[in-house]
Amino acid sequence: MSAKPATSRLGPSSIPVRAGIGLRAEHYDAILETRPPVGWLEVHSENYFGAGGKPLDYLERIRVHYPLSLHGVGLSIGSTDPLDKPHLAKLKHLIERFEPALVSEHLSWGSVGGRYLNDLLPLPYTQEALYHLVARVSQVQDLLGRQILIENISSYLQYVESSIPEWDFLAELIERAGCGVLLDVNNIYVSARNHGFDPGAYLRGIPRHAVQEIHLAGFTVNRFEDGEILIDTHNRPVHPAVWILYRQAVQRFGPIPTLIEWDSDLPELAVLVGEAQQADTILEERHARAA
Amino acid sequence: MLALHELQRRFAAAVLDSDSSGFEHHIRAAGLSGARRLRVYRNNTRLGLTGALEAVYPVVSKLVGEGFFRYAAAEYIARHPSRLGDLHEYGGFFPGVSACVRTGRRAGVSA
Repeated sequence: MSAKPATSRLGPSSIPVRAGIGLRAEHYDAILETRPPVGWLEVHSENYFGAGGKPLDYLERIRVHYPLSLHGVGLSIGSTDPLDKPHLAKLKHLIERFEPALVSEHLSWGSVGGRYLNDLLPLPYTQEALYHLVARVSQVQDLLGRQILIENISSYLQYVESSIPEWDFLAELIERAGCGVLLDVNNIYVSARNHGFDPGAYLRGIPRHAVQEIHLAGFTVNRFEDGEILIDTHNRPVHPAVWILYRQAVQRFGPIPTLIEWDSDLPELAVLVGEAQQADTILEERHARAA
Repeated sequence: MLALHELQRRFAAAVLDSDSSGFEHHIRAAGLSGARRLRVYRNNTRLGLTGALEAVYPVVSKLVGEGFFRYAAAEYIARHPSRLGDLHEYGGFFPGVSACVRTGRRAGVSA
């Protein structure tokens, strides 16, 4: 579909406008042995914070063949605690070592008073939180010496205090901090169902130029006598309704590198590759229309 | 308006200390109750930290069995909150706690 990506001393350096998959330890050997036809790979940064060992060894061997994106889950960028400088130092070292094309974190917080919940927790969408996030994202970008992407999360509650929609908050953040957007289409769908907003309004609220990466994953529905809640479990295929929303996103933002995320109950590698091919088909249709 | 820091502090107390008295009224009423919504986060944190302990101590988990391991993990999590965003660093004192719980001694004293 696109020209062969540029390469550095480590391997391909730019992310092609194709689908990629999340690289998980269970698939290390299968990736190296079969070299599946996916455009790029993404890893959770913290899985490679160790000083050595198997994960880093595999990543080095796999990096030769695929462009890479580093996706952080533990920085707690929205926390009111001071930024974790040792964490950022490890991330910076990882960036220098593996030269990822993209580096991302979440629009969330996960710690306060030195205690970590190790979860992606929602922020109240207030002016105070916006100022805080602008300062924090700017600080992180200064320390890393590069732009980062910020991803919208799935959420299970909304705060009484929130005064602006999440999409406006995110749009303001990228405008003021100069970061990019990692748009998780599944998370938009999950939060829209959980809170009763229009997912189309979310897409329309994000500036066209801002989105540099898209995430897709599967969710789980938990049903109770007083209603249901969708949980972002990353343990099954992308839901048909999310594929529809993805088409709308690609229509608005153009073809964007898209990642299939799968984190628990991992299937055979071929299942992930099949999901990536579905995304590729949608990206190719959009390419063809634009041509 | 409640300051961001205070809201985060109350959220953490609701999830980690099961003290939701200061937090539930900050949850917008819509469909499911605030208590139900909060339970999702309690569950996520518990599963995440228990999974981290299982990943670091797979042998202990096999030796004591899944049910007991989860019980010991819950005891440990209550006494030793995670201090880092990188979960791989979690669980330094866990084997001692696990042994203490198993022998009926008060967990966490030696840690």
